[in-house]
Amino acid sequence: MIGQIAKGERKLALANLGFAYAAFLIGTLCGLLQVFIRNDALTLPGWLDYYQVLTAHGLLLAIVFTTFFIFAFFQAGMSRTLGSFGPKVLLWNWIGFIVTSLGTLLVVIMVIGGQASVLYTFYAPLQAHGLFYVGLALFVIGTWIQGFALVGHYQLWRKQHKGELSPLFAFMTVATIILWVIACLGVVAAVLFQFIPWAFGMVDGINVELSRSLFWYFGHPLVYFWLLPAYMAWYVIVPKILGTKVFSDSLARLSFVLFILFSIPVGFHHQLTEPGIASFWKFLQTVLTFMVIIPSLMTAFSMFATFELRGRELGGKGLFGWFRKLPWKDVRFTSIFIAMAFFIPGGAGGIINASFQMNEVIHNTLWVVGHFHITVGTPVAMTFFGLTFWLIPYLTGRRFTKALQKLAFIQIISWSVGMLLMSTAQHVLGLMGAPRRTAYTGYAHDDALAWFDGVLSNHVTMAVGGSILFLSASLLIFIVIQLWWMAPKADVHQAESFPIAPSDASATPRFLENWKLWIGIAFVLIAVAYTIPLADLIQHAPPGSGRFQTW
Amino acid sequence: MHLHKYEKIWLIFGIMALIIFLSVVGVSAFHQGHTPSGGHKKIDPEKVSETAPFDQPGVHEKEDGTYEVVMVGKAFGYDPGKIQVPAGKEIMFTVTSSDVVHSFSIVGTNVNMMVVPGEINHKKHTFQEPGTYLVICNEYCGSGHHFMSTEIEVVEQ
Amino acid sequence: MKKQEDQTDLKGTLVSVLAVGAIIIIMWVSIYFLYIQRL
Repeated sequence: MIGQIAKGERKLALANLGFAYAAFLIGTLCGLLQVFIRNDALTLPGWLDYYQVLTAHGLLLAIVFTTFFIFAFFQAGMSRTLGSFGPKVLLWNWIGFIVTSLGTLLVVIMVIGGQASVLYTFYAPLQAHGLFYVGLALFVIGTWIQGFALVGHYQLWRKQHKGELSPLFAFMTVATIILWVIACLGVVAAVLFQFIPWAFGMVDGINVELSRSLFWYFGHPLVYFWLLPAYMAWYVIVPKILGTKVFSDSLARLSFVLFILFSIPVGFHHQLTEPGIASFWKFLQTVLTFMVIIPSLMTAFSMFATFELRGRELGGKGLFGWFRKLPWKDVRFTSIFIAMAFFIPGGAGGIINASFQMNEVIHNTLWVVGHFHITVGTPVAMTFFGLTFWLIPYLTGRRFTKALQKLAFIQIISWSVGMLLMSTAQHVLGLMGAPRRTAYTGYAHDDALAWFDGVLSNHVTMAVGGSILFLSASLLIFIVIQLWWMAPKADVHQAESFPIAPSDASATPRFLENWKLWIGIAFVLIAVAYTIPLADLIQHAPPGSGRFQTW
Repeated sequence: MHLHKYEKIWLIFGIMALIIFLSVVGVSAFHQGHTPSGGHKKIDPEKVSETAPFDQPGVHEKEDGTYEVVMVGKAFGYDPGKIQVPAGKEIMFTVTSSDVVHSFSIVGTNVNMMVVPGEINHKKHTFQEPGTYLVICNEYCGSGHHFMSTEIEVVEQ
Repeated sequence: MKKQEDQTDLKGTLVSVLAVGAIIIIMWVSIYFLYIQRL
């Protein structure tokens, strides 16, 4: 079949997708439990508590679902654009997948066993079971193995195509993997050299502020590791669905290069209200954070331009006539368009969060929870839903039938409505001071009673939104099962394709694919932003903190 | 690399907006003294109650007429509990933790400080209005996290 | 080639991205004033 990838890669991508959606199912169920507990409508049995459920929700959705999905997308897309994997590349991808899965299972077992109610940020000196940290390390190592295997496949292609720029999808995949590997260095250092020796009792104290800084060195590029695959879909997949080409090959590549440079030396903007880091360094990283907004501004322009050019080709007239000509009945497009729309307030909120002292207004309030539900929870997640609708049938050889397309519309619309209710309530409640990460909040004070009063500024609105989201998630699981096992087999004419838009690279400067250059500059920026403040945290370390299990 | 002229307009507009945002917060922070909470002093997290100023937690009036509130966060409360401070006076909050990470966040104000063991955090604030202010911990600290709160009584002087 | 591209009609795009810019500015300014009010 034309455009179909080899069986080995199909199995590999499906394995990653299966793991992703299993995590999605359990993770969203945890979300529903939180909704009820926070409103005092449910008492958990003794062996399960709120913070265990919250840890599972965060880990399974933000880390496991995203990462496994991203690798499925990369593996299928790299095979589609660069050709079939050789046996070595395929083998190492499988090894990586198995290591990532084992790490995940170890983490999940520790959380279920009540040994690791430390939330996904696992801030010291809360001390989980040592195996929890071993699981985290295995997870990262597994993703590195899969990442390096994909980079190996890419290098082989470049050897055989000397002097050519790689296809845009492959370029972006490699950029995202580079970003991920550099980002993980921070969390790997913290886990290997701080958490594991401390949790297993080899050392008695941990330098808390250093561990937090290493975590956030990883924590911010982590969000770009989620976002860039969504941007890949926006840049490369969406134009093909619209029936057109990539708006500008060089600007698309440039934006990914800028993400490698500026998404890492910015972690302090998560630590703006903390002691131990001088205001100068916090502000310097605030400035660098603002640099990483620029590639997103470029992306916004490219998206609208793609829509307008295509809409005008289809006969749209006037200032906005092109808008009506877009293929709204195609759920593969509409889902991703809604995802993009959510990223407008999501991105704007992010600018506010990073704005130095303004962070004090929102830091660790429900606003932040609202924020990441309209960044990773919708722009990223709903882009992944939009990809799922064709990626699974593409891999299983089944059909995305009309009936399933209708269900898919109900799914994305209910997700949008639920998210709009929940995240708006969370943003408003956060501004009113309601904290994040709390079980049923029964503070006896007028300010806290106001959190249960009003229309949008109400915990009940949040709960209604959350419940709708769970219904939507269940519907998605139903669609996934249908596309995987139940839907009718497609014949040659009906087969789903992997849409890759043509991208004219004839005017694209070659230096954009000079990875050594970009990695070098990235490390210089990291060194400038981090060397002195981290050295200071190490040199002037207080006596270490002991081990605490306060759950 | 070719940029459409509208894209140039958009990027110049966007970058100008970002520069203005940064200038506004930068000037407000470093010129008018509105930097977010912070501090560089360290403390032994196991000897908090023996180390100054945390050996005497509470409200202290200083010679220049300003106040210092010294507060220790611990699972799942604050030491001292309920305090009373005057309205209209500058107050320096000085906080640390004797166990895990907490926060000291006064609802309705910009006082929203991370409380990190081993580190001492500071924030200046002046209450304009008298009343009872709710203080909560908004960083997860364990099974009683959502019970960790106190109140500050701000009184007219 | 360049000339031709500059003539492509992207007025709608310009208006759309400026609307995005307006949302960013309005949200940022409102929170900034909230910060000032809480000083």
